[in-house]
Amino acid sequence: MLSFSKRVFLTMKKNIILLLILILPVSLFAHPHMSINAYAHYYFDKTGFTGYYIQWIFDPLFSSQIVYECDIDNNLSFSDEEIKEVESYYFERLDKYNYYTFIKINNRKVPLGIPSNFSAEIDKDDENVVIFTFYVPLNLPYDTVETNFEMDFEDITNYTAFICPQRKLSVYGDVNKISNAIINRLGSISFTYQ
Amino acid sequence: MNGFVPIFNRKLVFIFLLFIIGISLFAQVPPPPPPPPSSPNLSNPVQVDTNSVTTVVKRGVFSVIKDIQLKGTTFIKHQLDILRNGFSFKTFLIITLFSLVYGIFHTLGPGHGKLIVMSFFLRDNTEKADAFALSVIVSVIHSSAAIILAILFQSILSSVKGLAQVRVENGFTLFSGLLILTLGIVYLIMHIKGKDHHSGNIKKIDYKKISTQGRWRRNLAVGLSIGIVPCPLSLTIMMLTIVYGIFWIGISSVISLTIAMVIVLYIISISTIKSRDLVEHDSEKKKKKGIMFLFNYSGNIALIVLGFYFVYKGGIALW
Repeated sequence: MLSFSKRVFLTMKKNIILLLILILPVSLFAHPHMSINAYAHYYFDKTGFTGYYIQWIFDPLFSSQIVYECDIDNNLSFSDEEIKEVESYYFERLDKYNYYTFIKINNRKVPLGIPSNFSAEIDKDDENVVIFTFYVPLNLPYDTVETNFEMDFEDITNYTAFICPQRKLSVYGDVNKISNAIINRLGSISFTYQ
Repeated sequence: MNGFVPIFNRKLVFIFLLFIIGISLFAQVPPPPPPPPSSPNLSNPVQVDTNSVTTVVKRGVFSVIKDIQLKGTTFIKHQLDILRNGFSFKTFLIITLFSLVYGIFHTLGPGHGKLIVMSFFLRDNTEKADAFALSVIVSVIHSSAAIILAILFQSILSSVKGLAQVRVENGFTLFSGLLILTLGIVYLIMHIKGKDHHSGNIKKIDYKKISTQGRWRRNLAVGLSIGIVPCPLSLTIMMLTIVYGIFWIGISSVISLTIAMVIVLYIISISTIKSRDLVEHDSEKKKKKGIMFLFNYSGNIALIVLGFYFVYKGGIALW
């Protein structure tokens, strides 16, 4: 006959095993097809928040696919025509996914501006990774009180995994005060400005 | 049994630590951030000093997992680049063994049918041989689909480029969801009507007497529905090795990933079966019926919910 404590332990072990089995897979997320290191650079002027540049650095494995398909002359450099091809095959279609970028101002969702100044380059010094750069206008005038800004990089289909490697904000231009900066490596940045 | 679990855990921890050390030694250091581009139409494009701004950087378990996955794929790419320039048996061995070890970690991540396999074995009175059969079927189909798709993308589907290829894969996700949903509904209806082997209306099947061929056949439907989505990692490796002209090295790496997936799925299946049997065995007689009732229905409902989820995910990606 088992002692009371052993019976309790066995019962707990049973339940813990079941619980672990039920939660072990944890996420129902689909399988990331590619990984992107995302960087954001924010621009202000005297009137307000003008916009931001976003840079995506693709993982080396997926970068090789982009290079193979779009670097037609195999010189590890994208010409203007090749950049248009890259934009056509890999960027323009992202409009239905909101370019993987979601913005909130004071906790209210804000529609994303139309990206412009798209460019693509191959970083020959680092595993030939491909870097996308594009500018998104915001044109938000300053408020009299502090404004909270949140940016999330997310692929709703979960085919792309985002990482924000930044350790501090990158801000340019005229802004009085930046505070409450939070960078979540899983792909979100937030701060308050005035 | 009680002594086995702590020893098994210590071995797992040791293997995992070795793997992390290996990745740290061989993987590339993440690149520094690229220089910011020139600002558009600003009169004063001076960088604001944010060093004095208190910045909270949050890192969680998932970001660590993502970092490790990125380092793993970077390492594989690095080895493939070496092999592209000339065959080296040492590099070939490294990439094959690394794919095996990384494949275990990779399979533990999302998107490899673990939850579906668990739901299946929770509801079904099956044996270890079924666990092995299903694990092999899922893994082989998952990798084979990637190999076939890679060949197609490099040949007759070569006009499908860029993110259009991702849409094709999303189509597979939708199809897989439909299959899983259908299976879940069929199993549930069969159970409600008393037409499956759990009810008292039909003779209980002696699982030990099921022939090998019969066992593989009866697990094929579930295995196909889970494994039909091509493995994105295998797909990317195959496409790269085809371009590099080292197709057979891609095959070798994918085989290692497949073996790793079989191992993980088999362990999860066996754990599910053993835990289910443990709960059933240790329960009092009058509670046993209730517990098996709960397992069967929750397993069937989990399959249906997962089917809906994958249909939803595939659908929103396509439309």
